Amino acid sequence: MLVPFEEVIAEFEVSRTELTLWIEQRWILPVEDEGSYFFDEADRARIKLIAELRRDLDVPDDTMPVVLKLLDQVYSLRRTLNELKAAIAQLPPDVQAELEEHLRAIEEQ
Amino acid sequence: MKDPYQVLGVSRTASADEIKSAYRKLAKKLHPDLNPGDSSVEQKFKEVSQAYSILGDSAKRKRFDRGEIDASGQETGAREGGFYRTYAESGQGAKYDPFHGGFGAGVDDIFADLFRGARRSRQRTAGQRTVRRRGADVTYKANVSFDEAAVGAKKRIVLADGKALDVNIPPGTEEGQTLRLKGKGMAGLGGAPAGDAFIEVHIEPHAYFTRQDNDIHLELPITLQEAVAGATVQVPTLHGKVSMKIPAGANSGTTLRLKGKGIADPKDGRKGDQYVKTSIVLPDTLDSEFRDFVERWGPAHPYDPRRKAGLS
Repeated sequence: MLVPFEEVIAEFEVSRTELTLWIEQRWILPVEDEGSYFFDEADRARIKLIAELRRDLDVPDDTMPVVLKLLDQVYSLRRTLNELKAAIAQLPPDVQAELEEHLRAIEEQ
Repeated sequence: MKDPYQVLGVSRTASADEIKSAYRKLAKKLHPDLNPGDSSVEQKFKEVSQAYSILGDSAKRKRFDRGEIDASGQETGAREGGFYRTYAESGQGAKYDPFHGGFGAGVDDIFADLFRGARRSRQRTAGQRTVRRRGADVTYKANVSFDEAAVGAKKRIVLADGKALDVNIPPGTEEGQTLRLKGKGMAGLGGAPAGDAFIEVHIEPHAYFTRQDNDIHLELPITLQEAVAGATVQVPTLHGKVSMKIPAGANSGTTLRLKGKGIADPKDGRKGDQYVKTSIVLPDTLDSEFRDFVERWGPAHPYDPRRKAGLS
């Protein structure tokens, strides 16, 4: 569900200037349509996260890009890991068993 | 509902700054979006935010202290919507994935690493260095019969991908031995050679033979008559039946050797032997004639095999 800019401002304790800045810095990537921005659930959850990182966790604005970059990499890795897990689940059972054996051997080293 | 002072770990007289600092410390540790793999932090974080929504607001804190609201009274400050992490790993968060060009430098593509750059080279333009990597080795297990391992055999093994592999089991193959099939592993990339296939051999036990290195051992049941008078009997070996002479007076445990009837040594070709241990078996039914004889003969000819064996 896409929500317009004004509603997002009201939903979170974020000023118009702040949110505009975040979009300009590409911390948030809303859908743009004829000069207006629309935010999906992921955008809004991310706005909430950035707001909490600044206000509650004391992350300064000049550190925010580093934090977001690292977080995005963590989530990217987890997404890849989930794909990999799904792909492994499709393999024949004996191949899965062999993979497990190899992973255990690595773990024990 | 827990006492918000306890949740934040501060005293009832803590200053606003102390409460804020306690909350920040906990939030940094417990924020679910900073702990994507840990489901347990979410509840703790909610409790902490709930506590801070009361104690972080001086008006609400006063009302709580006066008992006008309880710790659960204010849901307004608590999280309602999902955390970012619930979207970040789903399709919706994909645009923030560094891979999709949303943010900063990309995470190295794990899949490209896994499949030896196949995916990456597909994505890149010409002129990049071509990836050349030897194929991975693969390991399979194969069960072979006692005879196959002893005298050698050709064995067809069906691999996981349905391909069949003809494996030459050399004579004298031992339990747990690994045979290497050069170039029968995974295909190489960019013209590099294929990996090797390793076949781990497991030998099924034999009904009556056992094996010690290159020698074969067999326990051979014989009759009382054969033991007393001696006889020539047929004995199975790996190489077919052979005649063997049992000397008169053979006992249970007497071991006879059939030279060269064992396994050829894989290194020097020297043949092992077969050892045959006789074991005297009485008739299934003892008739009166036999019993009468033993009862008459026995008392006159006492002997003590247990003393000889050191048991008495």
